[in-house]
Amino acid sequence: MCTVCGCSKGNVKIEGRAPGGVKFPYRSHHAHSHDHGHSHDHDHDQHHDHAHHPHQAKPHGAQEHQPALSQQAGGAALHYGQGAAHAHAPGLSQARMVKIEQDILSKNDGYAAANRQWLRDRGIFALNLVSSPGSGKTSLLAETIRQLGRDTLVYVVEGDQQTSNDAERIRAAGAPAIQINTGKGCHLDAHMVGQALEQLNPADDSLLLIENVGNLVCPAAFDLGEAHKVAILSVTEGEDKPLKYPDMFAAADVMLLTKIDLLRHLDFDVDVCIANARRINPKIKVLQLSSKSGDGMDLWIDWLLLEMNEAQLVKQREVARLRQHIAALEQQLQERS
Amino acid sequence: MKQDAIRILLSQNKDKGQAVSVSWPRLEAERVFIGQSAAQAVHTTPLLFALCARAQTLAAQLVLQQAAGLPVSVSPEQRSSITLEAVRETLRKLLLDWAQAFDGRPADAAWMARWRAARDLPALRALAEDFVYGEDCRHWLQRGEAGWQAWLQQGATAPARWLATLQQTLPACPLLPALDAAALASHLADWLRPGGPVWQGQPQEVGALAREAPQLPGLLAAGLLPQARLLARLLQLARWLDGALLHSSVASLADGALALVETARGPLLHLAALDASGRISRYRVVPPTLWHAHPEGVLRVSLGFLADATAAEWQRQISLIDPCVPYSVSKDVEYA
Ligand SMILES: Nc1nc2c(ncn2[C@@H]2O[C@H](COP(=O)(O)OP(=O)(O)OP(=O)(O)O)[C@@H](O)[C@H]2O)c(=O)[nH]1
Ligand SMILES: [Zn+2]
Ligand SMILES: [Zn+2]
Repeated sequence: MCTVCGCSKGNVKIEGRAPGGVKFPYRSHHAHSHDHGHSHDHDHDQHHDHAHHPHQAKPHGAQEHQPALSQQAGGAALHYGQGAAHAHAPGLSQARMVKIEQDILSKNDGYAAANRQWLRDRGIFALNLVSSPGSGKTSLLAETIRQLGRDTLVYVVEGDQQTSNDAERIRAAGAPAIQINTGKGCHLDAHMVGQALEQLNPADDSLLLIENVGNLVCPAAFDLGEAHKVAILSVTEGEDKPLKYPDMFAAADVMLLTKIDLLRHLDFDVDVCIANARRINPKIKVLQLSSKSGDGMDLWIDWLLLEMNEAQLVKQREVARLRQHIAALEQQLQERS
Repeated sequence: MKQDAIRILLSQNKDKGQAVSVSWPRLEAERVFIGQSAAQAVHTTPLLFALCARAQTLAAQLVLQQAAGLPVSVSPEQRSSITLEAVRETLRKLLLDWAQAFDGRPADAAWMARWRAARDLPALRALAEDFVYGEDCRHWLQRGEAGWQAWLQQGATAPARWLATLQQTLPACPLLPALDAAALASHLADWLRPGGPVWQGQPQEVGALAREAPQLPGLLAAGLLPQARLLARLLQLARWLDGALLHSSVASLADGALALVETARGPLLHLAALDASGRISRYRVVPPTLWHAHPEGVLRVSLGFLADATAAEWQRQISLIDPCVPYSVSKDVEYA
């Protein structure tokens, strides 16, 4: 269960795995969130609420994240929480097991650090997009993929509680996408994202966009290994959103004010909204845009390309440093012999 | 080159008490092999991976031969060589790290001098029989669980006395079963996850305890994992000194090959693919440390229960798990 809001974590699925390897772009018929139920006995809620069912708990909480692979015609899906084998834990009291189960944020941090290094080694620039439901994330991603064009490799991880509609929209826009259905869970976590990365297998030097579950509370606490959290706020929401959800706007490095094409119909005060965001986070970068009219998209695209370039340079410098190091060691070897 | 340290963070959370997070942001240094020839990579491997350099080099040779479609065989000399490396490494660990962790200082300089001079198995065996076992290795090996308990109660050597002090129970990870490259080939994705390797969906304890578990049913049932962990290391050492050799194996993949080489601390995996011109197009190394430092692995499981223990106790338990790279512990970061 989620330590932030106490929501359940049952029924998580990662979809879109192409059988026997990685072929992109995924064809849409590979992923249907409704196709799985038949082959499994979903009993997630009981399985998941470790804290309340210590007799079902396991030493260190791996099981809530244990996916079982199910093969089916044309595709496969990873289901979280099938909880196959329960490991025995010699000498472990039930009370101690529960304590570890509760300890989710610290575990998440370990996975997030691993993801971050994995992305860094590959020169991949990753963003974690967070917002309320319906703020325009998927529309923005689709438009971003179109505008970046074929030369820029973009990969998308889509978080959603139930459907795989968003991933379908992203694939239609031309980017490989993988859907994580969090079921009753209200946020993505770093372990889910790590598994999705392993399947998505993004190319070096690419852009990775992670659309988190629509929720401005829990995703703030869960580092996924991204370079930046990007908080998305549409002008149809209130100017005071940053004040109502300060943790999120404090955790984000960038705020995107979306749907600005609607401004003339609304009495939304952009300046007040930005001032509110800066009261929470003075350093937050703000961009205003509309994926519908295209206004402001150029600045967003420029920023993405700049940051991608930076991530690529970090990788190149690391490789250069390693090569230098090897050359120096070889030199030493020769001098000794 | 500076090793990437394992980061251990002990955090205090107002509501939930203490929590431990473990991560090893390992640089995938083997990525420099991409674009190189097999010969270059084999040449560079011991420079890049100085720890267990022979095992690393053997793994690189094997995986690149297999990937090139060449016949692969491992000679008895090669196996002796990696076993000797594991023996020396285990003895170094005993004389320096474990002596430090249990007695507060490394073993006397005379022992270290003997270790430095001992280059072959007979010399290492003589050293181990004096410092560790106090008797013939084979005889010690044949004692069995009750016999080892009697031996450590007598406390005739420093390691026996250390073992006798290890009476605490700790929770366990599942133990990795014995695997070869072929068995692994169909589960490879699980070993290559960004978050660290898993087997059957779970992080595992690898290395001596996993291999020697069948010899130690009593200790495992009682949850005396720290003692079992150290005893398993001594069992392995005695086996190698008595002539047992470490294993290695290779398998082909749809694209490339993998090699699995046993080391003192657990399985070492190399994976490689070559392009049409024979240059390396993909290379991954999964060292045992990735298992130890898994975000839900044995370090975290153990340390999670030692949150209130002294720094010396932490050091002792970490050194028994033996993740083989440096680590840093930071404390008291509060979650908002
Ligand atoms: N006028 C206008 N409408 C937009 C814009 N972007 C998105 N929308 C509309 O806003 C609604 C939600 O857009 P989505 O892109 O699905 O939003 P989302 O944040 O991905 O939604 P969830 O994934 O359900 O949280 C849709 O009806 C879109 O057509 C925009 O720039 N201008
Ligand atoms: Zn939540
Ligand atoms: Zn969406």
